[in-house]
Amino acid sequence: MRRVLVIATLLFACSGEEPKKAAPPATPPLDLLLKADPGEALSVLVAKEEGPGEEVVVVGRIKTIVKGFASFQLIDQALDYCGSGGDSMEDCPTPWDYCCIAGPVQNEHTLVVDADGEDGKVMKASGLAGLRLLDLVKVKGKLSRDEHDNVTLHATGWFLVERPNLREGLRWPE
Amino acid sequence: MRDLLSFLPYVVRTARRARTRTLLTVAGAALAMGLFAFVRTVERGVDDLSARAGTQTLVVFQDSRFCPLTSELPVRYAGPIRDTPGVEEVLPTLVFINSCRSNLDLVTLHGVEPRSIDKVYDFKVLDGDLAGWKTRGDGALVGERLAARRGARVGERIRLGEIDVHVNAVVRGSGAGIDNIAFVHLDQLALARKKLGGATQFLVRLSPGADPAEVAETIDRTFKNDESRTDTKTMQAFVAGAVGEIREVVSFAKMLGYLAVVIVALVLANTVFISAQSRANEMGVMETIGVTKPLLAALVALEGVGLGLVGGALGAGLVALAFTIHPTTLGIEGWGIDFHPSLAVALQTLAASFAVGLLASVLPAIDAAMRPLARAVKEE
Amino acid sequence: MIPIAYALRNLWRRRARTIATILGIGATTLLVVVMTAFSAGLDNASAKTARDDVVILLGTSAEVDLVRSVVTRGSAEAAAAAVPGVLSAGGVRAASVELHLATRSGDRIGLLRGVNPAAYLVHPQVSVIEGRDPRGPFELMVGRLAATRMGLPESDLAVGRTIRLENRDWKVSGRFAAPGTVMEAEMWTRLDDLMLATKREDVSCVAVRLEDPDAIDDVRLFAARRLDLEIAAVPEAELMRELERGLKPITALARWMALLVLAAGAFACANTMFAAVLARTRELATLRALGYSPFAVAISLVQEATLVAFLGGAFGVFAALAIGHISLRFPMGAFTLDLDVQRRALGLGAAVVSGLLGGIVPALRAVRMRLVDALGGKA
Repeated sequence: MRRVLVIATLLFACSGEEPKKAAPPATPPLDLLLKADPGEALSVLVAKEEGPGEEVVVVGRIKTIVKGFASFQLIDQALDYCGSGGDSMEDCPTPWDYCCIAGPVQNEHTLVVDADGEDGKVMKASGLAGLRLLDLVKVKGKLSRDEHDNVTLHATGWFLVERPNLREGLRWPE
Repeated sequence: MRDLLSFLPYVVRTARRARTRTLLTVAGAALAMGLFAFVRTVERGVDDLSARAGTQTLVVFQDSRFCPLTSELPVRYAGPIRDTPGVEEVLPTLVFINSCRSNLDLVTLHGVEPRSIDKVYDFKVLDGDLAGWKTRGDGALVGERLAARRGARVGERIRLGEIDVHVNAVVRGSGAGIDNIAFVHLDQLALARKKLGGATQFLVRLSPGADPAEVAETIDRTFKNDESRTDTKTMQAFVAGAVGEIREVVSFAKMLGYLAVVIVALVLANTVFISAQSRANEMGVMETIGVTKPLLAALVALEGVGLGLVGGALGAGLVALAFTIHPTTLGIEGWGIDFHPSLAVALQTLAASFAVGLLASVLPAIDAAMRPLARAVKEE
Repeated sequence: MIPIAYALRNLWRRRARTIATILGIGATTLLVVVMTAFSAGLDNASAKTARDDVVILLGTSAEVDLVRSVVTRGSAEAAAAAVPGVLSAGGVRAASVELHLATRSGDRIGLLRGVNPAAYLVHPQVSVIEGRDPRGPFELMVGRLAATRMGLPESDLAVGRTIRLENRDWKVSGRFAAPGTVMEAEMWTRLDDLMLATKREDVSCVAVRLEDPDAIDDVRLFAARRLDLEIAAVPEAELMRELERGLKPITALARWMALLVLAAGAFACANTMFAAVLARTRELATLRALGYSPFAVAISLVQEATLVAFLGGAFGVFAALAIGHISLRFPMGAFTLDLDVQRRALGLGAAVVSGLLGGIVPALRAVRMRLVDALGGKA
């Protein structure tokens, strides 16, 4: 209902005043997408072990994209997504959920990637400007570790290495 | 009787003469009897599942638990259960189902120890080979209906639930629900579900002559103060418990089925009334040429019964066709209720149509017959 | 125009047939009312009543199913304390750590929910209608449909009664209403008591109510970044939609049956009217000969059909009124068929419309027939 009101207000607003929630979040500026391959990269597992320090490049697959933010989970490419490699079933309807791999194992091989804005908080975004789930990417940035031992990579740029050949007709999440 | 049958062409012609009326009547009857047939099919599916569950097999489940996904018993219980007097064989089973509620794409996996499976279950291998499955760690024996639904063929690899399996054989079982289950190795499923050392339930094959109630009680007593309490029942009682969830809805649907039959009766009664009335003149003439009153009444009734039967046949046929083109299995708590087209249901529907047709036609038939000759001939 | 008294007299003239038709249409109307109530009852038990400001934090391997969701107590409490954007009232955060369980007592299956006081803030639809919320050890507050859900008479779950579940005696401390939601079929107790009784160390989820429904994205971000908690944020509406998918087979069944019945009823009406016209061709022709326009004759026929349909519909509606409401249980839930004013109006409306439609075809026929043939009885 609120959304209807917002759209209606946008359409029929007489004054130039913008309602508080009107503007849709902008996609991150394309300068986050690196034009050249940043070179050698650490695997997610190794990167997590190393922890905070100098700028690094980490390679992995996009596992979850957080809606509305420039934030996603990067999972180690050593783990097979459903339908890749070996005898795994090819017609899994949601290959990006890695349901074939146990939860704790997934967690071990995952880190969070954030693109921060000038205020130091995660930037709002609608989508990752062309990247999608299971894309193999190299992300450049600095690592941080919080009090709960969660490792986050604060990205300054990312590079698309490879897009896997997934079958037709998959229902991608919004 | 022969006289009546010799008038059959006349009755058919009468119906054809009033084409629209006949069509409308048959259509209405078909729809309502279709509903009746549909409800009967559902009911039959439920009864069938319960009936196939026997009393010579016991199921040991965790006490107070309902959905298989929430029942956890240690595999070590198998030993003491096997030692219980009256027990011939025990099959620890880890069950995985893809929904605790109702759904139309049920996947049920039973992880079992391969060597004991044919001592507890009776099934027929339709395609593939059982021995091969016993030695293949990632193999699966897939029930007939599940295989059809998922398009699983022997030699293929498919994903069922959370594991990838190699289809070793397609089976058909006489026991309850087997056609909708896939049997895999206990270890493989336990690993995938992170439940090593755990089982959902134990299937117990009783020795001939053993008393199910007594053995069940003994088993429950054994584990009363152990890690997880058990609740042991015959397979029949166990299935009845699960299926009980849907019984109220089915009973309700049954009432509606009966109400539909009432509608048919009234539609038919109406039609016959009108048909008889519009042919009053004609029937008067027939009487003058020697057709007796009882025969006249019978002719009127025959139209009603005929229309009812045709409508019923159409309705039953449509339902049977629908379930043939689209075989449906309703999953409830991991048990599959199969909706098959069946001859029994078709016959029941026809019988009901006949009865309804007859009942509906009685009054109009009598009314037509009782009309005094003079009046009949005179009426418009 | 032909006076309406003509239509009325006609109906009276062929009493038996008229009554038969009225009964038939009445039965159809009742069926339509019941089936639409059935369909609506099922709908109510799921997505429609979800709140847009409630988010559920589930265990990540749960696949959007509360029954399979497991979160450690520690993670749940941590999440409840840290999740952003949560509504706060009187110093209490609207973040409820909950354990959802289906329990079996013999063949009766009940739905238990272990909660803390925050739950009442998160789920404002819940209102205590009798007694009080559970405060002492092993007390239960039961929903209005809890008895139906368990297949027990209402009196067995009256306030003050005891029920044996999970090998323990529980005392009913109160009853609650949560109209149109799945919660009405549940029995609520204190979280600690339920965990103790079931010897569980984990909970099912954390239900959170947001200050601003649009802040859901912030909650998702929180869940994605706190890998240590192993949770995922799912809006309540989405969860309910998944539940609805489980009910889809039954709802589909109900809708198909309603359609079949409606069609059957329409045929019944059309059938009657059609036949009625055929039997009266001479009479109708006479009316035409007397000077009434074909239009007037047609209107009269439609009037007759609509009148019969209305009477039948009214009969069906009275039957529905007499029944009132029906409570049914289904897999993991219960719902009420409310044969309320809306449904009854729909049923009556459907009856009248089918009467109208049923009258049009014969009316047209009557209009188009050739006067000469009709008078001669040959139309």
